[in-house]
Amino acid sequence: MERARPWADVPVDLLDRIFARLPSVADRACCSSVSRHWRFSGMQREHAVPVMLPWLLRPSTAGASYFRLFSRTTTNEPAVPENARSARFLGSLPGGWFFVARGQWRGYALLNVVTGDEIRLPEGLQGNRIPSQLRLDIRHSALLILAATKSPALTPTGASLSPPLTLGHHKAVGWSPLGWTGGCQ
Amino acid sequence: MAAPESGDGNNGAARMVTLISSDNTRFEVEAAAASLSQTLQLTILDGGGGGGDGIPLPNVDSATLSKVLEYCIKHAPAAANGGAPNATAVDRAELERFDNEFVNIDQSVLYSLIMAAHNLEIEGLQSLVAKKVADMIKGKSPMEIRRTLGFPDPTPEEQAEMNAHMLEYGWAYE
Repeated sequence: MERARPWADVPVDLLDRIFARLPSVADRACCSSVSRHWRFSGMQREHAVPVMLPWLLRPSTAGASYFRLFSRTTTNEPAVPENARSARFLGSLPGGWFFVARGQWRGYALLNVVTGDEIRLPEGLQGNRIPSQLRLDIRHSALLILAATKSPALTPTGASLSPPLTLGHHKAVGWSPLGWTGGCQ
Repeated sequence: MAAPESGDGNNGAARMVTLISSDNTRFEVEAAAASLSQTLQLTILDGGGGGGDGIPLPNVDSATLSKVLEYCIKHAPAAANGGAPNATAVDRAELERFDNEFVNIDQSVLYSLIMAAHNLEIEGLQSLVAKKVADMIKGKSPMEIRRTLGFPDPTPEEQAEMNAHMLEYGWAYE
């Protein structure tokens, strides 16, 4: 039984022309679901197939969930890490990482909802491993992190890990689980 | 409608050429119009297509070819002016109106058109149809896109793949 399937088998460079006229990531996601041929054609094009986000983490004492911006609905999939339960959402980073404040007194952490990894960020400027340029007048000063970003290879164990943190008073520092890696004013 | 007369006729602007469709229908058009096709332009510059010879186009049927030539004839004067930098706003508006009307056709005809434009390397026509198709599928779900473009019903495997993909990109469909 022969079935006519012209658009299903349209040449890749013509599909590329069509996809180029679709700036919306939602449209491109739909196109890439149409058929396998369309999906692979879409992938030829950089950024044609969008990433899974944007979702927002929606912590709650009853159990955290995600808020889907497009549908304005809430979902529990993929599983929300237990440690996000009472966390305060501060930002998100590529690769499934959320930057959160762990409750009011428990400091900050990076949570990865894809792998379930958690990286606890330092709780304060204490100890003698702090670079001298970060030392403040006040001892045991509490840490207020305003924003965080990550180095390309962010893993809990990776030696190259160093998410630069931005502190109050215009201080930016690099930090990894191995310790502070420097800072500037 | 006619292409602008060239002074000496050496560049072939007012020359006529014959194109032969896959079902053996002969079309006589000005070389300037046919030259919107990069492929035909080379043949025409080599002196082909004149007299009784004709250029055979085994991939294009007569219905599609006549539609393609309608586009070429309309766009030839602007193309001869080098993309019409000195065209009036009225001319440009008229071309735009023509283009919009021109692609207001069934998806199967659009498919034949874009394939012919692809084979004949007619840049403007490829873009025009691509834009039309993009407009047709904008805001539609994968299943609606399939229906709009006359895809056959998905096989069970295809359906399963679509479902899996939808789970991954669920937010885009809502």
